[in-house]
Amino acid sequence: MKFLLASLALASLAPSALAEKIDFSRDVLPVLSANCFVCHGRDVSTRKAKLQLNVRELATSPLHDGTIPIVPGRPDDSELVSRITAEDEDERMPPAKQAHRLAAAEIQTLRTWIEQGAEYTEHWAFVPPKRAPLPAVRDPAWARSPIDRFILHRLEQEKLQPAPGASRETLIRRATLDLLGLPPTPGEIGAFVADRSPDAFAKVIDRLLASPHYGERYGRHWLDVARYADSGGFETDLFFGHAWRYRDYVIRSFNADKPFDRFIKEQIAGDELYPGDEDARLATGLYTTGPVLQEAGMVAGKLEYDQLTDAVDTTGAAFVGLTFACARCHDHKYDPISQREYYQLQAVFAASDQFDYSEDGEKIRDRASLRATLKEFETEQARSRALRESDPARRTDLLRKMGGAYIEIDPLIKTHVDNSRRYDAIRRAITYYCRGVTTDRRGDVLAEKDSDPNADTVLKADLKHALDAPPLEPSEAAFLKVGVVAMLNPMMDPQGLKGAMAARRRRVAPAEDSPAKGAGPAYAVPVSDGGTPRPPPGAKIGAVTPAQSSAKVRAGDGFAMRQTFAALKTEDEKLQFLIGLGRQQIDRPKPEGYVEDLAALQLELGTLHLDDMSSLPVRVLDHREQPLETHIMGRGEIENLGDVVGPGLPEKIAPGFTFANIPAERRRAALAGWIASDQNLLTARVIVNRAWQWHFGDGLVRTPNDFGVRGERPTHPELLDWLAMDFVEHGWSLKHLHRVIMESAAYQMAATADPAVLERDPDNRLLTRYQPHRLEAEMIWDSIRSVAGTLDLTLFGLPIAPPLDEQEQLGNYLKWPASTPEEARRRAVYILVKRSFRFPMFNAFDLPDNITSCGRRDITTIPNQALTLMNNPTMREQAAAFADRLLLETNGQMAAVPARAWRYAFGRGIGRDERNEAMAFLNARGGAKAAVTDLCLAIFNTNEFIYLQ
Amino acid sequence: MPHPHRCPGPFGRPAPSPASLSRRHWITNVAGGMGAWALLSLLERDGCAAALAPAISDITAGRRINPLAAKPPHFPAKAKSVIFLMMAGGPSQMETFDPKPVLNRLAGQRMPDSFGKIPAQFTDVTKELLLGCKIPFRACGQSGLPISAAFPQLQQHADKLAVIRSCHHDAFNHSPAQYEIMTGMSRLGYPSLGAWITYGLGSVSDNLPAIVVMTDPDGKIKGGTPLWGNGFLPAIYQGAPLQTQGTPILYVNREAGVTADSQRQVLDLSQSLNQRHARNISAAAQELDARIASYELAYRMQTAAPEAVDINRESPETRKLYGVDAEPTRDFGTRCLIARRLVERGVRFVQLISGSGDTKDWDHHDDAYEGTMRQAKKVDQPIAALLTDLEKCGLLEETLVVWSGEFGRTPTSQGGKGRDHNPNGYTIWMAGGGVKGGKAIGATDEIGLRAVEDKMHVNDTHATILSLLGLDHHKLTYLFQGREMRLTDVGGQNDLARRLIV
Repeated sequence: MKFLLASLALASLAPSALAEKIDFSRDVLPVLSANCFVCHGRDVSTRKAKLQLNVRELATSPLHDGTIPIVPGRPDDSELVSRITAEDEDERMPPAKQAHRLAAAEIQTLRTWIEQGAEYTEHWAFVPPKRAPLPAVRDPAWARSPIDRFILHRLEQEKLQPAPGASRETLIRRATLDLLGLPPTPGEIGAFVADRSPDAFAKVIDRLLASPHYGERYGRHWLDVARYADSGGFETDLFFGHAWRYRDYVIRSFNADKPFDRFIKEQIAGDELYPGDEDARLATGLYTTGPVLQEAGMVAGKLEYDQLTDAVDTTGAAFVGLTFACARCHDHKYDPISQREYYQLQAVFAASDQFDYSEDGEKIRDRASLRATLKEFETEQARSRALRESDPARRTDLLRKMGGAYIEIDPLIKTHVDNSRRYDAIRRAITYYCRGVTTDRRGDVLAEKDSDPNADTVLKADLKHALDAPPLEPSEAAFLKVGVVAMLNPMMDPQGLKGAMAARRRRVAPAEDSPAKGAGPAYAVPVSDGGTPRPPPGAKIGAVTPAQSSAKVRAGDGFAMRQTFAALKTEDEKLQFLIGLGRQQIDRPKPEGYVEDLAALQLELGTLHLDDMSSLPVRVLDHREQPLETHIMGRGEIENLGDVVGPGLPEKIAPGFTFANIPAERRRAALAGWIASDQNLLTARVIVNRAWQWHFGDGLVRTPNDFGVRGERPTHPELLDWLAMDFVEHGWSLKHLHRVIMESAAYQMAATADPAVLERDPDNRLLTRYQPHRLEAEMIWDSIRSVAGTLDLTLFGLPIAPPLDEQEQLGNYLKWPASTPEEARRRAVYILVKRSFRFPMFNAFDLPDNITSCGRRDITTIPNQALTLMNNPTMREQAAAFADRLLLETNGQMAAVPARAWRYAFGRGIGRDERNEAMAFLNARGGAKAAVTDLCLAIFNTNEFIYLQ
Repeated sequence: MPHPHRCPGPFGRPAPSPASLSRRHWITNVAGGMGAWALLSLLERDGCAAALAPAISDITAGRRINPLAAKPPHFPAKAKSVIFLMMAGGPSQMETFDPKPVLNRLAGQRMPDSFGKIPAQFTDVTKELLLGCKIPFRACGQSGLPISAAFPQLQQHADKLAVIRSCHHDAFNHSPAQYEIMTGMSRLGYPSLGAWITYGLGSVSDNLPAIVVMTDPDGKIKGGTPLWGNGFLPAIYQGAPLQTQGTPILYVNREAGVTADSQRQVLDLSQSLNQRHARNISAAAQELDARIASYELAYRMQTAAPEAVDINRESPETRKLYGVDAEPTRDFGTRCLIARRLVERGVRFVQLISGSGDTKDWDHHDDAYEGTMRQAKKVDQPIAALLTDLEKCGLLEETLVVWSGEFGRTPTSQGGKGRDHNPNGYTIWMAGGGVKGGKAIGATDEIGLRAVEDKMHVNDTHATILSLLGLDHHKLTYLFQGREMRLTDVGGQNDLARRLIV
């Protein structure tokens, strides 16, 4: 039914289409593809009755029973017509079990088309863009830009009027929210309203485009397309210590107005095309930030296959605007991509893998060697040790990177080891840590798992951020610090992963060469638990006596160590314990073998603390020694290996393109060169359409990731082509495109429409007005803090994680590493994006799933949104901050508060009725600060505050 | 999508047919802008919203139509709501509902080669020794359905249970397997079963979420929030995690110190501003009206949600039945009792999760006997009580109760007493919702390694559940990335509904 509606809607937009000539691509193809191509299209594996309707030659030839599906000019002789109109359910097509039936109008379209000769024309997106002459319009004064000529021409054809221009206050609010994701300040609004020069708005646009916060807003748009996240998802939800570098690269690129073709090339093949360019290398982070299923017992090759799948699907959706993904299991049913061609695209990426580099650009290790490391854990220990010894280079490498003692792996400590200011922070952290241990809810040792992470999060945060402290003997501070880190590091457990793997497999007591042999019971640390130590069976808190000093706790016996620590009573005792532990750590001989590997593996598993990210490597694409052999996989299943294929591009969209003379380490460069070429039919159109959607809420093509046959057709095809060509001519400059769009009358219309217009153009496909739309989750978050005056506009860096309470974390299997309240004030684009746990406020406001490329976010209305804005503690806290600001700026004059509040929140003057209402509200509540806070909360809960209009 | 059909309009007039007048037009003009949502609600209650069933394009565009409007099923339904009992970790089929005498006989030996090989997570089944089941089975009820002694109370309900012993899928790690069970796919990003059902049928509750999830009190579950996510469906179809005490639904409680009156005044002010705004912004009037209505719904939820979870309103007998005042049944009993209260209040899908997928709950790598006995003690009485209570309230006939883990376990041992993951054969059961109990469908091989008879892929299980709800899994589709997505992907051919209801 939805296709029926969609095609009717489209038909209604094609004036007189039915009366005049049927256009195959516009009118017929959508009907055939939605209803017939599943069984009678390109995909040979599901083809029924050997009938293929997508090729004219075949559709007009007799079938085995002698009937001819389509007889041009003679609908009544065409089997297709008799089948779609058959009374008999068994005869009738499409068959009853299909979700959709053909509508009368669709049947008529097919009849008329056959009557008119059943001509096949190319799908619009595969036809080269043409620069159409600017259409003539009757009201050239309105049409101030080329864009307006296309829009107005169409409106005049339909005898519709564009909405009047928006007010200046509306306009600057629209432009500022649009480009920066933040509301304009009262000062900016005042200046623009007062500026009577003809280029006043152009100056505003220039100012906004020059702001570094533009990149945060438009970069976030791109991060949707790039399915960006900071973790891999699934149970392990591997934390990506490197993802933020790609995020920052995106923001920087938008701010720099990096030519978009270059931006594309860098992401696909920055390493191949621009060697030595740090930013270009980071750009391939696009491909190292996808979902990862990495758990024990996986089928060999699955990880690589998943990565190749993600690479091809993301590339297709993001840059080419085609659903390559559909061709993984079978030939694409609608678009010209065969299953073979899909795997040829995988072969393009099969020469590459994800590699880790240090910040200074040195290759540290790659996933292949890490996997080898993991394998080692799974083999006998003796053999593992021998293997490592036979590979001294790698061992040295790991040692150097990971360090011997923990002091080496934590730059925080390394850099600030003598920074005595931190002493106090640590003292306070210890208090938190004690509390964490004592809030044991179940009364048994299993609870340690629950209490530990919170405590160490607070501790780490405190460590990092507290600044005021009395001086302390430097060496003691250093020991203390090392002790704390040692305490927190789950890998202090000597059994660790290696022992666990062995124990799990063989169910034996501690491994032969374990330092812990004889020191205590062994216990398992399965990989699937993210490395969290688990206590020995039957262990109880207090099993280790308080009298036991840290010196006596065997180095690395993590569990016993914690139990001892927990049992200590005074803070001084705890302090001494940690100092002793630190001394022991530093004095300890450089560990042998597996300890370093454990650290490396833990790094890989992403269980290192969030704060340690700066020490984490950069993960980007580089080349394998040998490209992976790429097979066609039957039904997309790794068990069904088919033919081996080499790299290639789909023939239809890249005719004649060959990889014959392209070396393996230039495959992505070739792909990038083709995608980001001025000649490419799709790329520039896809990009300008995205930009249009980012400005207006809807694109000219309303399926931004699908320009194929099943996607929607452009509402203004000539305009789309004009924009694409203008974009390329202006060096793929997005900022140029922003100016072109925003300076048009179309962008500057008011958000009004009378009922007659709404009836004729309900979805604003004709652009009769500016269609208002709700702000995205991040904009709401930022707007609230912006008007409250509590937004920290610091750019870039590690993700932040605003603290969440227990209920907000329902469903979260791993820990949420809460940031400090100060950090939580940063813009929403910096908030940690986990794939297996969605930040609750954003979840309510339609955050994309970040699993596959998202071209357009849903905008839904659900009561969770109202509940969030009414009752989330952050809202009241921010309302109070906003109230403070208002009272301060009005010198406490209650009568001046509403007008000031309106200026900030809505960017306009307050109406008389509104003012009366607000004053009545304040007076009824006693007119104190609390009343103003409530007023501010009411404002946060208005539609006007969270709408772009 | 259901086919629109004619039905009497709100004032006894026939509603205009969609062909002659667009829905949007109808709503705008008949409902007159403001209150369209409220009117829709009235229509829904009268079962007359068919003509108004939203088009997907309306929903995704966030436009003005209530996407939760109750919709008629594709064909007459047996069940109206679902309580899905998920035992996270993967209970053993051999210790629960799939007796394997041959396995017991072969215990201690290597698995005969004839059974072949399966991938497991940690062990190689061809190298480990077969592990017998120490828990006795008993033929129960009139039907003689065998149920193990781990579930003594459920044994009393044997004639209500239809046990399906031939379930299988392809994911042998916890989180992908949990996604299989709840979304039909082992990958991330797909809508949950509850989301699909609500998308198909809409909601009948005015003031509670359509999909409610209750985890263990610590809120941890390996698959995380995607297990009740909306995936690519609009956010309105996301499940709401519910706590059994304190604030039942996130942000549903007013902050400390804020009275209902005080909040109402704040809301009145914002609603007044909202209404003025909606009049000015005519291009989005309906969407803005829907937002205004959503605030009223949210406001009502603040009363309705705490009421729904307040089991203090239940009689002492009922509380005792579920074991909510005793260990180890307290947690799960409370959730089962709340599940009944939710279904009573029109919640469409209740997803009740026991455990997180750890060895401390249903993941019995260490000891299948001890683990099963320990966990069953927590859920046996509550589940039996739920069936008794639903029946007593007359709700069992229209409430489908499903019991499932994310996979089964190997017949071979892991470490002597435990069992490894095994998605090649596992058992689920269904009760209520038109299902006739006292039978076992399908079978695993003689040792329980893999499903061999009437094989039920998870897609088939979902097709069956949809079928019982009156939904055709072929027709319940949503266009995403150029493809008509289904809960059952390209599977679901083995719809067992017909065999379950006779």
